[in-house]
Amino acid sequence: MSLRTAVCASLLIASPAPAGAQPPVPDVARTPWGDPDLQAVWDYRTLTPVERPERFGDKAVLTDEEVAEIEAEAVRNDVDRPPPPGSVGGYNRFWLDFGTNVVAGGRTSLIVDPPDGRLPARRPGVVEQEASFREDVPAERPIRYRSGGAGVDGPEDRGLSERCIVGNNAGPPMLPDAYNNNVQIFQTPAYVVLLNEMINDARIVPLDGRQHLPDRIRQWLGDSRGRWEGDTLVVETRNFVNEVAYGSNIRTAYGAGDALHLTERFRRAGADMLHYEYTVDDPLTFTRPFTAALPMRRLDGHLFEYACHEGNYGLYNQLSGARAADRAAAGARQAPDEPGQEKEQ
Amino acid sequence: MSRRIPLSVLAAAALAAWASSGAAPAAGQSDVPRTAWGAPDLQGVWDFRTITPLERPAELAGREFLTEEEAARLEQEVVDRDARLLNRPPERATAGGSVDRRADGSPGFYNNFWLDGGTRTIGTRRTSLIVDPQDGRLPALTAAAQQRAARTRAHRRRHPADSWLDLDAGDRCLLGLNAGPPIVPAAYNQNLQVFQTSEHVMLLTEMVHTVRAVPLDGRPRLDTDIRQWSGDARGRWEGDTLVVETTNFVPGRWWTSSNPLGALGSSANLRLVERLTRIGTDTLEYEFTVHDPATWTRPWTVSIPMRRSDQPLYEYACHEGNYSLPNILAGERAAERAAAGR
Repeated sequence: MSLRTAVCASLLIASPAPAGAQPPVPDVARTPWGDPDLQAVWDYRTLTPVERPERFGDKAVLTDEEVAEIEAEAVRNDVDRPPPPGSVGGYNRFWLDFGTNVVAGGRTSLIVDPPDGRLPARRPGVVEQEASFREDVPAERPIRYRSGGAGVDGPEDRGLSERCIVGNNAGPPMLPDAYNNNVQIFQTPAYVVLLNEMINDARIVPLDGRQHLPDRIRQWLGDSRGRWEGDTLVVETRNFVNEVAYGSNIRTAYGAGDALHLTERFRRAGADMLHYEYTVDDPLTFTRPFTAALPMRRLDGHLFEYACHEGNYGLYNQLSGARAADRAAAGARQAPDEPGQEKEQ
Repeated sequence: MSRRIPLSVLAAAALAAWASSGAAPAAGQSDVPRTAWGAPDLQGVWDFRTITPLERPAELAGREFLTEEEAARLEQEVVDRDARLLNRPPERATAGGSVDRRADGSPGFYNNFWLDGGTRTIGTRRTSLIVDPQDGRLPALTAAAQQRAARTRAHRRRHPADSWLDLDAGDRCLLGLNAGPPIVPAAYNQNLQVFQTSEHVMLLTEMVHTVRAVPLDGRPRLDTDIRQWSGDARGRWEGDTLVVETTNFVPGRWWTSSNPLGALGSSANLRLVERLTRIGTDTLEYEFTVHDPATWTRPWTVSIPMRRSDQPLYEYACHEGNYSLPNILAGERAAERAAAGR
């Protein structure tokens, strides 16, 4: 496969621990039944973006000085600043937790194929949604990106993670973002469980070679099947609902989930590293498949329960604020809002 | 099968139970399937549907077990009732024509096609899922819990739906109505999938797709200030029985009327002890004991034999389709406006 050649060539340049390579992992810890032991809490925070920023042009790897500068700036910014005057404020850097490191090896993007570190071209006519954190950008429902919104007429105008339908970073595939960038892996001979801290979502991956669900059964997390290729765990996922799509960050969505075919690879790289790599093959959306690699670090901590929906007052407040503005604009006499009050029509 | 905990010991030792489970290690069973590392293999999808009620019905007072004939008759009654209701002509509303309404015009509810309580009593033919106290009934509430329950009932009468906070955690999709913890059979999606590693057990309930990752490595508990809807669970093996002790629940956790813990909430000190034992190929015995002396005058224990299922779990996106909650609230607001003559 030319794709594989391209991936390997790129990894040779950019990554010290290529996943998907054929030789066994030396000295890898093993389960009692002989599979590589991937079980731990893995931290996938990183400052490295999925796509190479335009300013880096054809530069695939940062210099040591550039790495030091980017990481130092992240440390400087990691403070609890008040919002600017007149703003209600949002999460500041104290709340956000992207970490303070770029990926090992200093690649300029998580995408390793195509070699330019950018997403491939989209097919003509593909719906692209991009939200802005400054203001809502009108778009037709369904909204498929994770965060941001196209309006405030109803919850369906907001991103999927604002609605607590899916986690913003939990995927699949996993996409470092905001906070709770942790996944815990459990293994049995017949299953792998991928438990993301973000919104407490568990993906159950059978390893027994069973068939995928029938095409018409669609799930938000898709339908995953796993297998071992040597010491690499390969997880293939399809049967996504139409209402999800791949995005290179939580504010973008390209196409729809209908034909999204995701292949993830997990390979242990020493005691404290897990090499995670995924390939997106969505021929209805992209002109070619592409691959991103995200090394994860072992974390000596545990996951906490994330009750997204319980504390999701942000969504309610956005909508009730919009309804109050509607009423004010209509000049209607209005009793003050109370919790639980629904829009009046 | 014989129970591993003498009930009289549990009953007499409620206080001692705070410090240790009081359970004697179960004798190892030779015929139980085992994992590669030698633990009993509890893995699989387990179906906990049953028509056996949690509490022994009053008309069966003093009767610990049904006869074979009684069990068969009860099961046949359920089959007949399901068939009768399934074949019942739909009650269509005149306005709109597509809404199934009851004869009094009120909107319908899940009919028997949607509900899936099974058609079988538990294999032991016990008349209740509660095995302790021996009368098969919940123990008395403490005075404090009675006051709490009265306050809750009064609040619900006065404020049925002022806010989503007035609806239970099941209606709000925060917890599955049968998923607990502890698991108590109800309604539908009555399936538990168990995964095991040498260091963790994962308990995944189909309802609301909630997973509990239970560490087995003896690590210390979370600080008592950290409270979780599913609590903080720690597991250990006692012989061939997996024992899961859970604390750090959200106090007053109130999620469904079909589960006494869900209907009444619980105190901050609720300690739940669950025991999972594989009995042969096709049965997982699930037992739990509730220790909450601020709520119940004594601990109580439930035993539910779960049956192995060959079916997979599906994704349950509770919150995605939860249009009922906004509709309940909007309906209340409309009723208030109507009452105010607007």
